[in-house]
Amino acid sequence: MEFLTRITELTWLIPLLPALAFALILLTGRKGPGQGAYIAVAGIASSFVLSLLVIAAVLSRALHGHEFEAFAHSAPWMTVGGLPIRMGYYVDQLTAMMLLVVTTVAMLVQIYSIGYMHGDKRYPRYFAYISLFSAAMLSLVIADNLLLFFISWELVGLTSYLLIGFWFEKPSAMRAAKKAFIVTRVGDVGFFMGLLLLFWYTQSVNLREMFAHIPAMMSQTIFGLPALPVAGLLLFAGAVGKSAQFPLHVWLPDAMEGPTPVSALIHAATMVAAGVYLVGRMYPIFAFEPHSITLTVVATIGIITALMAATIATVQNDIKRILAYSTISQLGFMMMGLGVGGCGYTAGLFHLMTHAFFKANLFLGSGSVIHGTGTQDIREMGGLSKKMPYTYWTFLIATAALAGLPFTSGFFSKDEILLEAFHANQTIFWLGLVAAFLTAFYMTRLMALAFWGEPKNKEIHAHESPKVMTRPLVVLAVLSLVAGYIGWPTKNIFHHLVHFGEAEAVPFSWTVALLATGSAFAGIGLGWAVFMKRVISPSVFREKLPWAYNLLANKYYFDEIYWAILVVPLFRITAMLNGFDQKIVDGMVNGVGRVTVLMSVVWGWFDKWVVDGAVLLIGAITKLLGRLLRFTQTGMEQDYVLFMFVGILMIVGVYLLH
Amino acid sequence: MSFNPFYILPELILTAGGILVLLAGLSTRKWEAPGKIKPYSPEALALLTLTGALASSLALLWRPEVVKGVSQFGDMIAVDPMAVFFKIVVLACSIFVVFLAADYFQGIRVHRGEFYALLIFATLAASFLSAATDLIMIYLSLEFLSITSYVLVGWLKQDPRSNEASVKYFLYGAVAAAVMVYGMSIFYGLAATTDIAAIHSKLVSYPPDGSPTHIIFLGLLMMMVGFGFKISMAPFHQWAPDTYEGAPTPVTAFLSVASKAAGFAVVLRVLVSVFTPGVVDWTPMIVALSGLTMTVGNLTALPQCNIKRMLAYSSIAQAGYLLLGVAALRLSPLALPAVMLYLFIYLFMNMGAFAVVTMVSARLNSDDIREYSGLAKRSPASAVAMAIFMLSLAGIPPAAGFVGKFYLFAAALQSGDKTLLYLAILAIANTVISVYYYMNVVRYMYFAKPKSDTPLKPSFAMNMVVGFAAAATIIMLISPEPFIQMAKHSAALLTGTP
Repeated sequence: MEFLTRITELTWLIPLLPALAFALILLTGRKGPGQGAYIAVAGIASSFVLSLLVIAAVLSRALHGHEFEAFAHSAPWMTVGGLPIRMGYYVDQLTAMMLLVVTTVAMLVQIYSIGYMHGDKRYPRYFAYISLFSAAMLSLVIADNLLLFFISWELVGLTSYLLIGFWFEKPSAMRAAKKAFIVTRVGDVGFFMGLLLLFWYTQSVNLREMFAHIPAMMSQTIFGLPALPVAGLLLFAGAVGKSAQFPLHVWLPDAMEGPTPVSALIHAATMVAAGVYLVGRMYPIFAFEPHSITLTVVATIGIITALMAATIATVQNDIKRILAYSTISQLGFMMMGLGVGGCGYTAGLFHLMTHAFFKANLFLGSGSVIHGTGTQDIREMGGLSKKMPYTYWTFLIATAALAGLPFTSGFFSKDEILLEAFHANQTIFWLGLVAAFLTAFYMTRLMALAFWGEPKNKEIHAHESPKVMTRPLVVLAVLSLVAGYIGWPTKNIFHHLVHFGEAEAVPFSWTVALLATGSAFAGIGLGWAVFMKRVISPSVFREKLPWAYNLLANKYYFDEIYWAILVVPLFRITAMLNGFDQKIVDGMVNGVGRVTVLMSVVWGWFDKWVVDGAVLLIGAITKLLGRLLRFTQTGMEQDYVLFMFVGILMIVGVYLLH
Repeated sequence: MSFNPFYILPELILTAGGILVLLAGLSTRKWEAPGKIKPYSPEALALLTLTGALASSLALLWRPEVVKGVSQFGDMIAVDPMAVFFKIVVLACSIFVVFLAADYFQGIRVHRGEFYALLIFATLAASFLSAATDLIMIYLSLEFLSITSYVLVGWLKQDPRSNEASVKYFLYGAVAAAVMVYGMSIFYGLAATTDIAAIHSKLVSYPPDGSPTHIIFLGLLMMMVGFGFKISMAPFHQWAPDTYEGAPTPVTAFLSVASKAAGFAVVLRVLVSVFTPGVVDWTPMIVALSGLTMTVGNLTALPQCNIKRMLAYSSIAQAGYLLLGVAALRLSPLALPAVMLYLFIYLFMNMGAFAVVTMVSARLNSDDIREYSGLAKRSPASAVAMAIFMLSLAGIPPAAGFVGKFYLFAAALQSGDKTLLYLAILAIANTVISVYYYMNVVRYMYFAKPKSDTPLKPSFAMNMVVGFAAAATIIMLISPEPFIQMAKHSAALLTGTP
């Protein structure tokens, strides 16, 4: 007990160890142990052990019946207008849970990467980046203030950018990296504005101090709008960007250009869940009253995203893109859980945890499939169940968890979200059931096309991946199965640990459980009927409803719409502004050309008539200067000065009009 | 206050050092710059001079008399913490420039002694400009700075672009200065004095309904043309891209930091001490110009392919952000320290970026952004540093530019003024646009195939300079407090308090 309390004082080491690994790999390069891979794994493994001890400390207190007291330590950082800002860490049950999830998945992914990235020409750099990512993600988790949270948030975005573009020889990877960075930045602007707003009203960036000021902020208004919801929605904009929620979800499917372990760690289990964690961490700002406007927005965006992404996933053919849309959809589920209020908070975060395990499992499994077959198109696979048994069985278990089959981890968490929705908002509940049905359907399609049936492409000779890749899959599969049991409906340990306020869990409902299970089985049944038994032709949808099929296949045309209404006009404006200046530059370049020609002529003369060169030179220089001056006078410099005076006159005009 | 050489020690050192460097240049037989800094060379002497001036400025900053403010030369210049702070920025910038120039001119036949002497004189002009409290003194030091800059910009005599840049800069500067002097004459006409404190007391002595507000506004606007030219504020910024592109890169670096900082010093001093509330309300004008400057700068930076031109537009945009702080001067006590802190951070991030640009252009003989392809492979340390500078300029953590922006935006919010809030929102939206072109450089460095695999080898001195700037950019995020304290301490003027 005493020992464990002591250990929690070392929480700050958890992000520092991977950061140290990052520095070490940079220094040693290829000469480091395992070309840097062992350093990375050692760093994250130590963080994992520390995280285990932290959660043991949390649990030991919880089991002794005490309400766990969050502990925080901080050191002075800076002062802003007399207000001290401190930087430090903050550990409560939510932090401990996240620490464990992040370190577990990060450790397994890094072990897996030893095999997956084998032979890559930038092998040490990969492990350096992924260590830096782990460090940033862990410091985000333990941040005790919103400013440090934001800094880590940007740092994970940066490492995500570097890792999506890791195989930059593919132009698509380069484009995807840029897109991811810029689209998430749009959300981050909201986050930053929300941060400034909260800082302004609460005079602090420290989480607990901010929460203490919420009652005082209730009456404040900004632009005639209540300040608290405005701040909450701005923060939520950041979460929408990071967690790829509608309408900023467009970057995540493209991010699949990165190496598959990166997709598993960053774009499935941890970084994209940071948006959900942000809402969870800042929950008092969102849930200042039950069913606040902020929460309604969160729930609405969540259910729209869940449904939209699930429908798109049903027609994709790239195994990683299917999983990417599935991730977007599941993140929507988590947001929905947080948004419905009450114990939805617990349910959403519980789903974050179970999802991290089974989705990391699915992505690593897909990586194993890609490794073994050399393709990402599920139409070319088939019959992999026999050739890749470890991959198959672990993938199957994770699929069951994602579909929410009873007694897998996904069942408990998804059921809890739906249960809360059932009591809070019937519309959301029924739409959620539809999304759950679609989830089961597209995963069955994936299983049927990739693993079951007969191989479709005879060229592909699939083989099982090495042990260093399959062992992490087994661990994740076990976690996908059992992690849900800490949320057993009648004795919910998870709820005991992570809950908001004094909300009592809604009692288990057979109606909801049966409906959820029923929809999952219905999805599987339909998928089985279409893709295995071929009772219904798989192409019937495409033939009978071509417009709907195209709409889904083209992902509701989000990219095209953004391109037309945002990107093109922006570039028009910049091209216009640049043309304005460029015209001037062109004039200058022409002038320079003329001057150069003239100068060469001058030097020619100089060489020719060295005797009376001096006389001629004076004439030439005069001429040159004349040209130069005439050029600058008739040229564009005039315009500059003209613009100066136009500017002055315009300012005077505006002044007089006032 | 009687004359005391101690208070103008930095200027004295610069004057003496400049002359010495000039003399030393005469005795330098070898024309070709060696690319490194040798003892007894003009470079070494210039560094010694600038470091001496920097040390004496640092010694002045915390002196109790200076904290209260001292006047010298019959109230022509002020020795107050703000003036000393700006001197420190300018001197630090010039020290960077010497290192950059030593690398840039390697193998080029230039008059090294004269170059460094002129650089020191330009620095001297900038430090006088930061301290000037009299319209005549402001005009003289501004012109002194301009004329030395014109010559420095045109230093590459064989390069027509450099000549063009110089001529354009000169013509534009001449007109801007003429307009500024006209504005100054209006205040001389109103107050019959050129001392800014005396002008202020005259301007506030008008009865509220008898004040010639329109004339005062016109005069202020005309003076702002001259100042705006120095800080490259839209719509008086058009010289900057052409001049930045054509000038030798170290000179571009000097213009983008030292010259700009001195310009901001005079803007702050004049706006704070002369145009106090009740004289004329300039906040809406600065708000509008700030929004215009940052938007024009950022949008036009987007399509640029030449890194110096891109950094020119970027520095226009940065001036826009700084003007956001200037606009908040009246309403928020946080604004003045915020502007100074941002300038201090800007010093390191921008000089660092220019150091990398100098290093690359000296080795590849090109300023095309595409030349940065695969820099991560050809010179990994420079690429990491450049990425830090780009992130910092874009205001993305984990680099100090973020702290600077946080401070500026906090100042705008603290004012509680609605237009300033709109301006802050515009500024934040602008930072998203800027991400695109800053990260473009990072994209080329990390995600593009290099044309050739030969490593670029920066000299030891350049590595130190770039490393120092990068370390400073990170340290000011991790531990910003000492720098905040310095900015706060320095936000004190001899006349008038914001």
